Amino acid sequence: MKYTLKIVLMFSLLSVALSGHTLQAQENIASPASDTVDIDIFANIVIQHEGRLKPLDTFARNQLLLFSEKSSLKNKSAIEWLIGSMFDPFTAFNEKIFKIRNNKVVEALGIEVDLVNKHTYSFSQIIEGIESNRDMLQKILIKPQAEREPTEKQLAALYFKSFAFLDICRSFTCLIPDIPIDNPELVQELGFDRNQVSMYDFLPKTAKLRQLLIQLNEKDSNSFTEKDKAIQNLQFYLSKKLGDQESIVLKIIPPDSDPVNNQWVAPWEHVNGNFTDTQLAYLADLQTCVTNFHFKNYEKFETQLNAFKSSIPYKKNIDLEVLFYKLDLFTWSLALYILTFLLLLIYWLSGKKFIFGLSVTTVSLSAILHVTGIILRMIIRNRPPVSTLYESIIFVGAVIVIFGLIIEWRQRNTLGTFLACSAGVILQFIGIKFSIEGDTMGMLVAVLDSNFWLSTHVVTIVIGYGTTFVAGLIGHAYLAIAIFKPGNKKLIDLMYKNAVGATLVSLFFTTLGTILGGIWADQSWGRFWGWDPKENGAMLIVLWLLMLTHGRLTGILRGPGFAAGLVLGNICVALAWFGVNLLSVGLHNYGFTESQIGLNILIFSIIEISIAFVGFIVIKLNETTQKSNLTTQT
Amino acid sequence: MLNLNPSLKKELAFLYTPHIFFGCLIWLMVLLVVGTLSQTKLGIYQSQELYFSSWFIEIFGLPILPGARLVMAIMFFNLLFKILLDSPIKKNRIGTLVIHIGAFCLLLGGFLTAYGNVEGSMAIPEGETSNIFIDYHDLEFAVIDLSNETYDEIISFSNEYIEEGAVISGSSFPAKFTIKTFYRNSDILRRSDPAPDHYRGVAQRFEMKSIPIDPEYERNQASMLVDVTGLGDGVDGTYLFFENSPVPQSFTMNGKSYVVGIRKKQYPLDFSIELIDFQRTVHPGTQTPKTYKSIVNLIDGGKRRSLIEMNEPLRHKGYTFYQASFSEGGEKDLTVLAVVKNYGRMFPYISSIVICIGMFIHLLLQIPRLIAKIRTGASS
Repeated sequence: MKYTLKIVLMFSLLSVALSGHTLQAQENIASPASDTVDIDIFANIVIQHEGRLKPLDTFARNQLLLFSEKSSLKNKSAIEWLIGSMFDPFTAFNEKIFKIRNNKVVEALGIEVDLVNKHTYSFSQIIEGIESNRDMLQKILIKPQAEREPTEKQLAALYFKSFAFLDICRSFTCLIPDIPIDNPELVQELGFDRNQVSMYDFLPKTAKLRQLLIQLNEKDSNSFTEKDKAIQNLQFYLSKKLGDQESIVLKIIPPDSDPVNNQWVAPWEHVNGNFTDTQLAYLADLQTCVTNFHFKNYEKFETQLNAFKSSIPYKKNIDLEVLFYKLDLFTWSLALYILTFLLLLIYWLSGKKFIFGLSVTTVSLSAILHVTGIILRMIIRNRPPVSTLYESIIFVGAVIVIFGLIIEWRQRNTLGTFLACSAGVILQFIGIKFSIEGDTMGMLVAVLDSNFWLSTHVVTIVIGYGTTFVAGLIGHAYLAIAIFKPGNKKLIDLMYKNAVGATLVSLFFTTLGTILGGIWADQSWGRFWGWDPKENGAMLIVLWLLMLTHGRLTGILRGPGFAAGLVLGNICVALAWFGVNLLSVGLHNYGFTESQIGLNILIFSIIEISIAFVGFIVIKLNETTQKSNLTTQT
Repeated sequence: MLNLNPSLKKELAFLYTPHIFFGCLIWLMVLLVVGTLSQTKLGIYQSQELYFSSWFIEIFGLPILPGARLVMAIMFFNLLFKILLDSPIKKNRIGTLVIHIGAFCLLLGGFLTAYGNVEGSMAIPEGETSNIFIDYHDLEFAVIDLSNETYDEIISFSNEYIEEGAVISGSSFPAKFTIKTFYRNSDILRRSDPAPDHYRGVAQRFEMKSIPIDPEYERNQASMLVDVTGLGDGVDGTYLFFENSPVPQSFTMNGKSYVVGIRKKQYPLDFSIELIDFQRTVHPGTQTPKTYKSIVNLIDGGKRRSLIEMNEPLRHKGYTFYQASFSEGGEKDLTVLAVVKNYGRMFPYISSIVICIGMFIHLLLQIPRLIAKIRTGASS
């Protein structure tokens, strides 16, 4: 009969409890010295997480974002943090990485609010709070999601986050050789060549260990020899370690075939005894790496880790993804958009031509970074540019910037640069906020998994959102110019023409996008149109733009009215884009919802409505006073 | 397109004026917003019936406000007159004309779909065959002749017959069914008090209780109390029928055995579909669905092996079968296919192409003028 290590240890755990012995664990873990080995060597290790194969670096970033809302810490990168946490959990437990903005959450756990560290707390603090408030948490966790108060929701989230962190810290604990064997005789008997071993080292020794434990149980504890005591200590360490076996988040060992579609396994899963021979070989390689890293044999470690990495049967785009995150193009482009905006302000105030030239240069450079980022994402994901809400934000930004640059190229009057950098700043900023939610390259649900429709319908409608915002921004510019420079008729007329042009372009994309969406729905659900909120949202934009264009024809809408209408059109886009996800009805309900989005849309709408109405009324009042002035003069 | 004399054209101008279209658009947007918001309360089906598929919206029981269908009908004729009476073939208006023709096709297709569309679902367990699909919402009162050994003859009376006071009778059987009470959604409860003497069958032990309509419209369970006459003493009386009744109520008429009941409307097909295998995969290590697939045999004379999956429906004889849902974990896996027959199906395809071409022409003609190159004036 084959005993797995797990069964033997379960048995031993029981005997520890029966014998009533307690031992203090020695914390004898060497911390990795990152100054002597390049931690980046870990970055491109492939793991499977949330259904996707990704570099360890991406995993580190996303997890750190989840805990701390940042993708790096003050003095270390995400991957340094991750490796540190996995190889030296006890130090990591005291590291302040959990961002808790809501003080009520902190107080509920009985933790003192920490303003010095900007509301960040350590795992030790949180777990202590959780331990001493178990009953309260239990009550929250049995409540259905919908009935939880906001603070309770955050408490529940924190509870799961803290255990997610613990799981990460324990990923390698079965491989780290930190179990001391105090007795040289025992070391020899078990056939080890050193007196610090790992859980994994016991895998071939299962039968031997079982034999020793049985012998020990038959002895009187008063007559224990040094060896017996060492066995007892060992038993304690191993049982304690076994508690870590729930940690299966780090799926680093590939399946025997089809690494993309089959499940990978985590090191700890080997205690279940169901690894294949190939997987055991991978685990052995990993063990050597971990051991060498632990004992600071960095040279050996590097060669072995590189060998391990090259033996993994999946490499596609992994290095590219590491590069993508390292370049951080979207943050750089955000910085350049802000710079452009400042330059533009200086130019408007000073009128110096070279500053204008400089601003056009910075915005163009920023656009290049922005678009390069999108292209890199497309290559990494093997997808069209937009398949998630996050990507739609980045893409709409790029659309507006490109249209802005086209307008600037044709007109050279700062309008285009202004459009580009203001949209660039706002949307890149929102995009960064959204990326906190986790992996932005996640897998798609079945109905969305169609590159053909993603690249036709989704891209078209999202371009439509972008151009409608362009039209809306031109509407803003029109109102501003008509109010502050009412004498410049030529410029006002130019703005009006631009506005009409942008409206026509928007009508083209939104109409085409909406109809293509209907055709996709016909292909996948069997109906062209179902009055689903997302469909209605898209249709609302189309109808609004149709109303504006036809309102112009009837003469009901003239310059200021048309411009104010475009400003309000922005609200239609915001509603269609984000608002419908808040209703949580319908087949399209796969974007994610958050109460904050609702509030932001409301604020945005109020601002746009105020601008449209105040702008329109002020212009009309100016016109009437001018007319009455004229009549009094004549 | 038509050449009218100017004075006649002027008199008819009210038919094609964009003012009508402008007004219609505003009302349609109001309906769109209200109808969308109401979906959180009413569910998609009911709000669609109330705002979008209706000619009028009733207020205090009176049809006062125009529904989306009426608005779109007005837009349809407004557009038709615009195309016929006020579309001179000129270079700078050709784009608009093409767009208008495309939009006209789209509305036409919409009306064909609204009135000629049949849709429902077909659930098939693995290894079994089906040639019937079931409507999502519409009901029918079915009188089924079981006397024939090889097939059941079904006489059904659909939605419009099902209302309180309606009398259902047929030439092939002597019974008359008068609907006394009808609830669209109900609970069936054990009677607390003894039933009146003339109550028969299930009605002797059970009663129906009206409950509010569920926004998930398919969950509603219709029930009705029906007076049956023409079958003689002992059989005539009041019966209770309800959807998904576990006990069929049967009657003997003219020596034949009939099962009578209320159910979701069923549509027979003249071919059938056999489910060979249903497959579902998730992204590894997650619950996120990756694919749903039904491998089926289409049996129509011969057998044809086909694969139905997300975004890849099966089309046959005007019907389209889509992967809609599934059930796993029972004795056998079961696939649910959505079945649609839509005469207006091709219109969106045609009109999108036409509208696109039109808009493209219009943009090419208009944009260089609108997003003007400022320096052109100086250089030329």
